[in-house]
Amino acid sequence: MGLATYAVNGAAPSRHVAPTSVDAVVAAVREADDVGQAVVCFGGRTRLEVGNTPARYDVALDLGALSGIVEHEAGDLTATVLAGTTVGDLARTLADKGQMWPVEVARPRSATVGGIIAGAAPGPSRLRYAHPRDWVLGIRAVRGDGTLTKAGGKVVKNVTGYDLTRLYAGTYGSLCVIVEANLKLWPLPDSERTLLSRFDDIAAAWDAIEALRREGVELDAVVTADRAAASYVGEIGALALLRLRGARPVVARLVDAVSRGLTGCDPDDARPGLLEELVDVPFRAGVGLRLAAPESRMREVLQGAVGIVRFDGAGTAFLVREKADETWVTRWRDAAETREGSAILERAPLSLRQRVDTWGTPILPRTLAARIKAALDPRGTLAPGRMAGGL
Amino acid sequence: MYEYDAGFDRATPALVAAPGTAAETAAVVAACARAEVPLVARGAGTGLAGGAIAPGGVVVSTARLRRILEIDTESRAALVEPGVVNLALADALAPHGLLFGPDPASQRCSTIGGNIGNNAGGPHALRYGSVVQHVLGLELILADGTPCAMGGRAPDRAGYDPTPFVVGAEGTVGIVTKAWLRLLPRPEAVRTFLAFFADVESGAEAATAIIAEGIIPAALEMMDAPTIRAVNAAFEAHLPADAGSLLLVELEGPAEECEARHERIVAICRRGGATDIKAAANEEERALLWKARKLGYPALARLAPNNYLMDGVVPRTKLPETLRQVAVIAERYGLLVANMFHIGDGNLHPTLLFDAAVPGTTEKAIEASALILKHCVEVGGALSGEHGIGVEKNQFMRWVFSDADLDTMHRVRDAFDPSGRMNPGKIFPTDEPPRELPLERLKFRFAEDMWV
Repeated sequence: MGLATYAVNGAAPSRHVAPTSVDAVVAAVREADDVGQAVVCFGGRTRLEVGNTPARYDVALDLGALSGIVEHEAGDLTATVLAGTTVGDLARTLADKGQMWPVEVARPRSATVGGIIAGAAPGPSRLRYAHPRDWVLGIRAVRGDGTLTKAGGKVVKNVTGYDLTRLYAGTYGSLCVIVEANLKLWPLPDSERTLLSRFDDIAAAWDAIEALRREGVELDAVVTADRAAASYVGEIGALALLRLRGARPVVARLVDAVSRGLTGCDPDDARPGLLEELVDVPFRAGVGLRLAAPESRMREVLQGAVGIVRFDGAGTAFLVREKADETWVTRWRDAAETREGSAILERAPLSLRQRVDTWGTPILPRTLAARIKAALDPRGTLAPGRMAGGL
Repeated sequence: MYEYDAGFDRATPALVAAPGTAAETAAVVAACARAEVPLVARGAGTGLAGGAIAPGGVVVSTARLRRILEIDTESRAALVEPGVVNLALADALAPHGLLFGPDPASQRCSTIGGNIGNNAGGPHALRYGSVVQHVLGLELILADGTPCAMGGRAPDRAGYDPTPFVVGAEGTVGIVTKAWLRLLPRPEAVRTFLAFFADVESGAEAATAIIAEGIIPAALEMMDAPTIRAVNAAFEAHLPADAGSLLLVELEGPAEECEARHERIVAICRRGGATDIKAAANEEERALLWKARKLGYPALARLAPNNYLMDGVVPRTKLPETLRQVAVIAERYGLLVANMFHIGDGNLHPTLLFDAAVPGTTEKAIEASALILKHCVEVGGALSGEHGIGVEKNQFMRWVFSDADLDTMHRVRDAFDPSGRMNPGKIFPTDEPPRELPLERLKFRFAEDMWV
């Protein structure tokens, strides 16, 4: 592939490397670090553009070929995979043994395990299974100076020294290059149903879902979309998708409870793939702003918004549209940040990126963040400038 | 009492401070920075690895930081101070239909701050995970006295989020003054039952089979014969005296699912040679079973003048083999061993029972425990599942981690605390002999106050 395909938010590298072994990754990072070149990691490219344009960028480190399931210990419910393994491939292997890695993200055929961990990828599974980092037991990673290190382990309970695994999550390849991960697995549920309800107004969908949650109806995943967002998947009107999973009789009872709770909106089975399509909407739109807020304040944050895809109950929503200017980003960023939230510009044309910061105000004081960065990447080799605060 | 925790070592601190607010905590830490003295945060002192002892340093007690500041039912999150007792939080959440997942056996007195420092587990860690999965954000006082926020009740906020790294860092990077905790809805149904086996091995095989068949109970605990006898003696638990081991199984979730899983687990246990299965008929019986389990350690401690409890972890498929090794090693050293532990997640707690008055026995116990931990590491496990490294196992860290791994940890520690004054001498192996800390390696009589 030509170097142009390795451009990141307008910056292009001078060379690319596609290692197929951990040793080769170590060599590539060390070589770059030695000569003061900067490295950006590639996985499945689903979250590559999240972040500011790197301040320096010389080497595209494509980890797509560093893939494969090293070990699947079904009896332990653990697996070890190389970073470039896609979640789609992983899911198929695990399903053969009735297991899953309960981390659900957009574009599973492309998204890699390493990229998901590094990019703290969101998805509907967050409602029940929380953060991807909660399903990683240990990691092998290469520091900015090319040193291969491990953190954590392979057992499901572990307080043996610092668990740096969890520090590396969500750092977008700016502290280390993740090369291998030990994953915690979970049994696949016996059955599932995904119900679709239509509403005139997304607020009515939120009311109904809040009522179901208060009643204690155990929802496996929820995605709601307003009229503007639903139009991206060819649907008309506001939508609520509710997925129910568990033992067969449980799912049957939950379907009854949901149907009662949504009386008047005729919940029916959603067409296959609709939930995945909705999760993909932020990738299809020209601009995607990821909002995080406490669940109790999300509706305040979203007041007056148009183009909403929300993972209800998980403190996450996306605002999508085709075009936006910095005033629009600032408006929603203020709405989120004044309510203990964040607004991260995940998808945007270059012209907008050049005018507004991707991240907004980071929570961690910059001095400490900078010391952490310097500790693991002393020469600024790994994606310099990509993270909040220019780190 | 500030000389020790529930572990093996003791040392006298220079000073104990008990701040009442986050601002006072910051002032104490800043004063320590000016005086260049080390400091150690302390909750209830129930740790087993010496993490809370402060040779010559300042102990910062969180005893007065015990307010529950907010319960946000809609976000399923609570903001608490570190001195809040785990069980007090559970009681406060119950009327809201919510719970905090981790329930260490010490929960009647251990604090959220201590639970965070050691990434505590407890029986229900099997279903809910350890504390790290339940902390959303922190306010941390750094070594120079500056407060520092991270994470929060909203997920994935901008920038680095070291929250889950601070959990389990044993107070070596700062002092937690506030924590946002993740809350869970209370389960619709709970089923608790016991399965008895002729020996430890068949019980362990059954436990391994339950997990391997894809059933994750809420809790899956084992007690062996010495433990059963001790619990019977202490609580009139009326467990079959001739049982070689028992599994305590708790299922939580939708009623139909609990029912179906109960049947499957009973079938697995019977196939595995269970001699009897006894269900808790009501909440009272269930409470008795858990009381026996959670107070099992003090009961065990009555069996011998001294005891030494380990916290190794192994992959679940290695459990039967590891338990055989534990028995072999204990026998070789002439020590009585009792096993009462979180078998479902592979977290062993072999307890060596002995009399330190017999010359050489303490050394034997320490040596045997090292061999047991070495075995855990060799089969792919870890040194500690829920109690941490402290000063007890820091010399074993090189069994698990290379110099490069330890160097990486050290760099991150230095990023948080360049002065190295936060709980120094813990976790990291020292090149000097362990006696560099003025500690007395004694097992004392307050084992009654220990929980695992």
